[in-house]
Amino acid sequence: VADGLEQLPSDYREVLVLRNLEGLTFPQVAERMGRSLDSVEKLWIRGLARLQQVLEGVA
Amino acid sequence: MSPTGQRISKLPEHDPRLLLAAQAYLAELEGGGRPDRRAFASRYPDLAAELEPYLATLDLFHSPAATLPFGLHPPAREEALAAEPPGDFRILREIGRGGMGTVYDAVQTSLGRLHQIALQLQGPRAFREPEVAAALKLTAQQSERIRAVVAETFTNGPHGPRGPGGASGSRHGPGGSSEKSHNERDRDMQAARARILALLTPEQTQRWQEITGAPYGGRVPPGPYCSPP
Repeated sequence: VADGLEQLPSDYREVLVLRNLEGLTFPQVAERMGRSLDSVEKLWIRGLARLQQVLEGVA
Repeated sequence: MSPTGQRISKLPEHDPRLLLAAQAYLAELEGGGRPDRRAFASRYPDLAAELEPYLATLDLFHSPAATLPFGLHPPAREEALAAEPPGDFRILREIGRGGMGTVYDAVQTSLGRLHQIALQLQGPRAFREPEVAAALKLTAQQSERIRAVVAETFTNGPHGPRGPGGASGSRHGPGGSSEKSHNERDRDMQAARARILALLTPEQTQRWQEITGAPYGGRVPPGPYCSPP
């Protein structure tokens, strides 16, 4: 997972780390990243998709 | 073979229910549950196939497999390795044996790589984490100066407003002209981190580098999901 995260664009990596590793709520992530809640949620789901693709490529 | 066993083939925003379902699954994981992925996905019959890879990826964050893989080691080192792992790794279990050696699943006992990345992403705020302050043995004076840098950075810095007449061009939301761009935020964060590092002794700087590990890469592999929304 760490290897996969390192290969993600920074926005994706940041939202996944803040939400899934640091355990912040989406509103907290939005505040931290200076984005809207809607934007952060979309970024998160896209980040999951991208991470899955990266991990698939690494494996 | 894919670590999740399946592929995500479409852009997730094609169906907003994917987001809601993934959030619901994450809530179950964070609640301490061990939801059955397939059973959960079956709650969304027309989405199940598309949803399951997302759930599998979420599982990775909450699984022991998310710990750092130790990799293959020559047979001659196996016994010594099991008795005394290098660095600050702790072996969790033996995954398997083969002609090239034994594969162990292990964790870094101080800070795992995921945690290192999290600290790096926190930028200057990381220096205010209690474990970091303790590891660096920050003095009261250093802590106070760091507090000032962090306060200044996050009042007018990465996430703060540009102020009246700020440059436009931000892509963050409808009020983009009042927020900093990602590049500007990164620049401010790096500047703040540099200011804090300048406050540290060489020994503390070295310890900081040990704690956070290698800088995470910025490689952007090609793919349909590379462009942020």
